[in-house]
Amino acid sequence: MGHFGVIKTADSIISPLGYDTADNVNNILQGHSALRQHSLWDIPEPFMASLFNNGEFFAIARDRIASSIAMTRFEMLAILSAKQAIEKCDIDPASPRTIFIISTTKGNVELLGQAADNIPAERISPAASAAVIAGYFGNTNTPIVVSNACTSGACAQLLAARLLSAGHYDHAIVVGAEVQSKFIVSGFLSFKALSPEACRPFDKERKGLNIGEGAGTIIYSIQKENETNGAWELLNGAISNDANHISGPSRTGEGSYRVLMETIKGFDTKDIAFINAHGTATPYNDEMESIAITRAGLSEVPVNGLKGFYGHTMGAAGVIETILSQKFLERGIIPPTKGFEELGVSGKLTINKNCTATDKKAFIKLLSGFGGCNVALLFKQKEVKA
Amino acid sequence: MMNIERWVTLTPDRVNINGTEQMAECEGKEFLTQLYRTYVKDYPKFFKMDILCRLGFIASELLLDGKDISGDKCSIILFNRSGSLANDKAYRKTIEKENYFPSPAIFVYTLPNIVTGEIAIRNKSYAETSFYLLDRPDGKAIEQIVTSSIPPHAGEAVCGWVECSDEDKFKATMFLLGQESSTPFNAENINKIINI
Amino acid sequence: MEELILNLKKEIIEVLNLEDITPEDIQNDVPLFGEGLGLDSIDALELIVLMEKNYGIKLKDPAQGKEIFKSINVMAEYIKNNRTK
Repeated sequence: MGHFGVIKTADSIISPLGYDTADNVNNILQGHSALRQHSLWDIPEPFMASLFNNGEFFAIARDRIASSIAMTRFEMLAILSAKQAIEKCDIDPASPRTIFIISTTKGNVELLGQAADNIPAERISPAASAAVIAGYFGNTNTPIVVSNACTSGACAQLLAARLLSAGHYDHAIVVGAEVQSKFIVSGFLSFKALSPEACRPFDKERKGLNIGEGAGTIIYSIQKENETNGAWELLNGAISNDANHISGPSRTGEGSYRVLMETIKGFDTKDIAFINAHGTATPYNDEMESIAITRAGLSEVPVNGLKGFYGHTMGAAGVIETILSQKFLERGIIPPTKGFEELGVSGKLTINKNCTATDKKAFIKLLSGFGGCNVALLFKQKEVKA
Repeated sequence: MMNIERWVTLTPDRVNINGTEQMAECEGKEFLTQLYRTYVKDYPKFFKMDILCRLGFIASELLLDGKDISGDKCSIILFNRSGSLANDKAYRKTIEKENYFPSPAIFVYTLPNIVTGEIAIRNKSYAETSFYLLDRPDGKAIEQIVTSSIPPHAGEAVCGWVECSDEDKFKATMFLLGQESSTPFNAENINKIINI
Repeated sequence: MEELILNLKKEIIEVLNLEDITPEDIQNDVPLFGEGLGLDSIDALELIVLMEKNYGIKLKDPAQGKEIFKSINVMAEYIKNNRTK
């Protein structure tokens, strides 16, 4: 029994690999990746990324979203995903007992320097953008934007569990969304962090990350006594800072190690099917995670990374990767690590390269990001009773 | 139940610590540098920080006043509205089409949670660091998020509102929470102090 | 060469925000990273930008920086031999 007492009620993934969760799962099962080479936005060099086809995206957004106010690509993406999840369950998104939690690193940053005529300038703030997203569904609570860099998507879920557990709300709609732009791509290029080819998590030949667009939504609800039928429970989670450097991962994996230890406290690690790692495929991140996982005594637990399919979707990554991990485990599969061939980290990890069968029902989601933040979440599927 | 042990507000022209106000001799960004030279002195990394980090860092130094929060017991949870907007604008200038030299040293500060990282590094804190954006400094939301995030074993926390939309337009209100004082950390007191 | 070294020091102080440090404080043969000036990985990336912006030198592989940014002397020598502006 987790100490939060919250379960997942519904989910949605909108990504270049598909406009609902099932499409995304099927594409990954077939080994498809959305990573392509792009030359865009006057950036002087080509880059690999997972980006929406804008023609298709806007057509679907126009079809599914009826709004009287003008919206940005980011806002449409978040609403598409939230709407799809809401339609899968019977919660009231407008209820004062429902809170919207938005996870993004840069929201509408593409408006900077090229303001759109019909979008008020204040929407450059993700907080203002979040108000538009929550407002679309008639929700009047102040929406919360989680801005913990690349860990945001998992931190947002932890916040949802905490707020529900404390009795402040009955439901939390956690939306992770990120669109890409010159702003983000140029920054990662200046960091020499982008791989010129499809990324290769934990591999000896890894050369860096790829960026991606996408959105994921998870609706969390307080668990009722009789609701035990196959629901996913967020059992535990923790956030910790490396206290080391604002961009360089800790050489000892300090924060990541600490969140792993805190998260597995009191849980039999033999029941953990896998760790879905951050696995950005930068030399330092993957090395750091390998050290943290080894230090935490979890070398035997299979590790996988999903960045080879979508690249790094930043604020959306924690949500999308959580949903995919769950969907794979529901089918009794440990997800694959596309791009991995030969172990290239110092920690003794068991990287799960291809789909592997398992009968275990729990997994850990691990993330790290700029600012030295680290997060781990522990999930378990409740028993399916006839 | 957490209480407000100590608080600091910092604007471009004044600083107020627990109700004792001090006016600035210079304004805006310069005021932060002056406070650094008076109260911190020996942390040259300060000059590498963007304006939001300078603001949060100075506020935390004044708030903690030498208090040891190392280890994993003191969460650092900050809020604002504009994220890292002031620095985002600075970074945007380095990627103009005609003058494209993206600066990694500026880009790294285009995330607001870097300020929580800077404070954690300064204080050797492995505790939770979190950054949230709200449309306004909503005392109720801040109370709910902070109190539900502090682990039961934690004795203290640093939290607050650190807003900076422009180099010379900023406001920080930071709280040190603990068990000792008799001022409860609730929406009413949060709003009262933020609005000073 | 002396002029190049002095300019280079001024540029480094400016782009890396080395407040309270003057060109005279930076010795020509002392390591820039580690114990010397105490620069870090972000500073190294910023120096790569400086090389391109001010001297037209593009470093393809950031690992090259390790050699080139050893000291002011090494850096200035490399710039002298490779600059395109």
